[in-house]
Amino acid sequence: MQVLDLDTPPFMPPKRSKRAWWPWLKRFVITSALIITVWCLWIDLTVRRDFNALQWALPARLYASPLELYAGAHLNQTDLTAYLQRLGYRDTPDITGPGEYQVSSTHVRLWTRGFEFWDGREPAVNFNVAFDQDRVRALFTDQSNDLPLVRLEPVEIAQINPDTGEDRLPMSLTQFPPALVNAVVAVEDQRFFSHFGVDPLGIMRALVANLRAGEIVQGGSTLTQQLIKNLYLTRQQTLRRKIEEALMAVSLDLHFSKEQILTAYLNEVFLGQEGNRAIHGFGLAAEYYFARPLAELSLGELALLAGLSQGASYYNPRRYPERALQRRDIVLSSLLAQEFITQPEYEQARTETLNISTRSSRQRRGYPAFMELVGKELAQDYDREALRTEGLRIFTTLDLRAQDTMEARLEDAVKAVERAAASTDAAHLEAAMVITDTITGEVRAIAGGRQRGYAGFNRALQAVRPIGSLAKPMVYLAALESGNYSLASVLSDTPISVPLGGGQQWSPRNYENKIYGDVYFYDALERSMNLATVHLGMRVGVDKVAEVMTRLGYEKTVSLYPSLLLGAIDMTPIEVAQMYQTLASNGFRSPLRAVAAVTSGDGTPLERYGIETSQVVDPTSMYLLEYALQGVFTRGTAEGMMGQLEAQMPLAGKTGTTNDLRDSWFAGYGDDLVGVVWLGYDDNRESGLTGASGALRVWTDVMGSLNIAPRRTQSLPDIVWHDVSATAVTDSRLRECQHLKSLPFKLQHPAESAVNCESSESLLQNILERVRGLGR
Amino acid sequence: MNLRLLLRGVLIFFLLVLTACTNYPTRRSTSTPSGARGGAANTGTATTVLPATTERAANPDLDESRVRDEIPPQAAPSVDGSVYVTPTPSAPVVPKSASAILLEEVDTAVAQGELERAAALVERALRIEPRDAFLWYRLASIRAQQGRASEAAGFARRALSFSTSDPALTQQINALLGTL
Repeated sequence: MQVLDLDTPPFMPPKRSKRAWWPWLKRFVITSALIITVWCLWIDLTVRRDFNALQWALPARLYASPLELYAGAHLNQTDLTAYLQRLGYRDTPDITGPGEYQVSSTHVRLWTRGFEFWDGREPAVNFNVAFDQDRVRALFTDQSNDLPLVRLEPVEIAQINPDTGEDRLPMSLTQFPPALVNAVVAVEDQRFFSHFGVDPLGIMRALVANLRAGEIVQGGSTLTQQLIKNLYLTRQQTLRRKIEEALMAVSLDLHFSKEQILTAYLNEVFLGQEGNRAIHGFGLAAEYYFARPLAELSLGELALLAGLSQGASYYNPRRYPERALQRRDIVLSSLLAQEFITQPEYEQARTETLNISTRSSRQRRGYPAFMELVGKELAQDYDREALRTEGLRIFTTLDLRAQDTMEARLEDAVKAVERAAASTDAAHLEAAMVITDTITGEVRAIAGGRQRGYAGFNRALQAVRPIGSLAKPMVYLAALESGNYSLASVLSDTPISVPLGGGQQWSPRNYENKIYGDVYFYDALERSMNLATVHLGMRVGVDKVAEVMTRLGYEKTVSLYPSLLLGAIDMTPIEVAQMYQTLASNGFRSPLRAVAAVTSGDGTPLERYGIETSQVVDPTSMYLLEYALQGVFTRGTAEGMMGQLEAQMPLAGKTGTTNDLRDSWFAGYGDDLVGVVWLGYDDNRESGLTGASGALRVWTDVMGSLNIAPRRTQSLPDIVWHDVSATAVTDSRLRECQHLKSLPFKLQHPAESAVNCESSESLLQNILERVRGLGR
Repeated sequence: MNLRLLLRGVLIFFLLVLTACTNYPTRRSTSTPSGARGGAANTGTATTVLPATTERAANPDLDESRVRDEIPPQAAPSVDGSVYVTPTPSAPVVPKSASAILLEEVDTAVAQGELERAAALVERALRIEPRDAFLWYRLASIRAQQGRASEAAGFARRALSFSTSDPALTQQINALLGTL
């Protein structure tokens, strides 16, 4: 001790050593105060900046084409109620608001919700629909006023989710039902409107409760704190984190109104998980659990949703309905205890049964094959990020009825034509189908495989296969356009060898090696004769045929090989659909479209993709071609389907078969729809099917179910009808006018004399032959 | 717990001081969802600008939509070729057809200079009556007004392909084609 004493400076009084810590403490306090101030400042700044800039990444939503109701529309009562159910409408005995309908013996009464379309707002209407079998007879209000037209809301078919997987339907505070807001406040944070972001009283109470129970039974965090926790997405529960959260909550409460904080909470809170899609906010939760907008939910349903915020997976009403109901009742009791609801309201809400919507897995998978086309089109104008974050509304051309009908029929129809010999366990006959609107070029339905909702390799858009005889109409169209041919031109269906250069020869054959000899132009197309087609095509020119394909809408380069005449060109079903679309609309080409319009999330119109059309074939050539393509059904390769399609006749189309029966095609159209079917194997093995024995049957099944409309051809001033001899001959001495065939001709290009049965000379001969015929 | 409360108290105090010292000019109400969507228009989305053209007078035929009224409402041919006429319920007045009501909206939109919206409305009517020559003609005239001549010509030719039974309309369409 003495040694130490020597070291102490003599001028330092010994009693001061007792207070030596004081300046250190002072320094410590000042430094830590500074650090804390900076920290607080930083947190305060962060919170203000982040909350001001709060922008949720909102997924783009895609809609099918909406149902239009008007007198005369093709729609029966079952179609309408099925559509309403998909929109989540409730069938009630007494309609009180939007989203409800009621079926009576004579009509359906409904109250629509209204919707913001590209071309303007469709208001909510309360009206009746009367039917006359498969058509709408009239729309009228209860005051018996006739309504000319009502457009229902579109069905949402898919969405493009942000990378976070978060999905929500943000709403403003006034859009949330007061009962929901009350329920959330009552059960989560009673003193929300009076505390300053944190609630010391609540914490104390929670602490007491937890101590009493010996475990965590109650949380003391406020809505503000929960919001902070959600926004900054940290799972760690360290003390520092908790203090930070509390600080942020205080800061948030200081700078923003209770209403702003509450709105953010109601839109932010996590309320469910569907695959990798996270359901956030009450607006979306209502759609997700009840398939109805929040505004249409009952007190019990709102209480159930409010209860979910504490643990969306634990109280998941789909998996644990008991827990969800118990939780709902707790919420209802707190509402009652805090006098937000009356005793009778409470009693009534408690008796409500859980009415959770069932979401079929198919509905969730959507329509992947169609969506691929939509995605391709959108990629031209929108980048990936915009689609995933800006909450765009995308209006597609998908016709739910056509798509669902096609999917419902396709698999069985394919199975029915599948040859057991060709299929093995590993390889099944595959299919692709595209249905478009004859007039507008809008794509109505797509199947990328035979299986319903199939999401793999999209054959409709990606499988490139030789089109076989589907190329023939282009050969005959090129011939008709050249002005050198009529339907009554006589072609020679005889063996032909085409030199390919390099000493090689191409010698095509007919199906089953038949040789038909002299045949009429129309007949050769209707019965799909290869030899006659090659003779004709070589005369007209392969380049002319290729040019016709391009004009009809095929966008890739066509290689000029003679085998093009028999369809040795690879195309996808949708490319075929584009060419036949042009034929179906009488030579008017309209680009196929799957996207009709885009609006922002609040309905502001953005891009629109309207109808385009240009005339690429003269009407008279189209008229003549149409005659032969209708003949495919009445006399040609599709004749076998006449019986099944009796009510739909006339229709037009063409079968397609490729070498060794690998691909089976049919492309056909009525007045309203164009349908293209491809059947084949992914490994390109022989299917054993011709166009007629495979694809045509599938086409008939699907298009028949869709009630495809008969072709209506308008007569043209420069088309005249003439009688020709029923048999095709090249030598006028062999002309036989006993049996006649009436055919349309271009005014300036009548029948050749060898078959013309209307010239005076032939008329005489005709009479003579008839007399001779009588005598026999 | 005491320590935490104390700390909280200190921090709240600091924050209060802070707010007192900081002057916040505006409290933006951006936490509402409508605010959250604000940025939709500029990242890669092409917004259609409706041309506010006033050259309507250039085409005297445009307002001839009254031609429509002479066509009987809602006559759609049925499968067997006979004409299906919608039976009107006890209502005394003949109801307007769906496309007639849409054409009224089209005229309003055109009058307001909202030509693209007008085109969208005609297309909606075309989905209901795809073979109505007048609708195609109306679309052609709207495109012509927008200065999109080649598209207008396509629609006009389409109109002609459906107008053979209506010489007056055919004449109008040809007149429009002549101006393109």
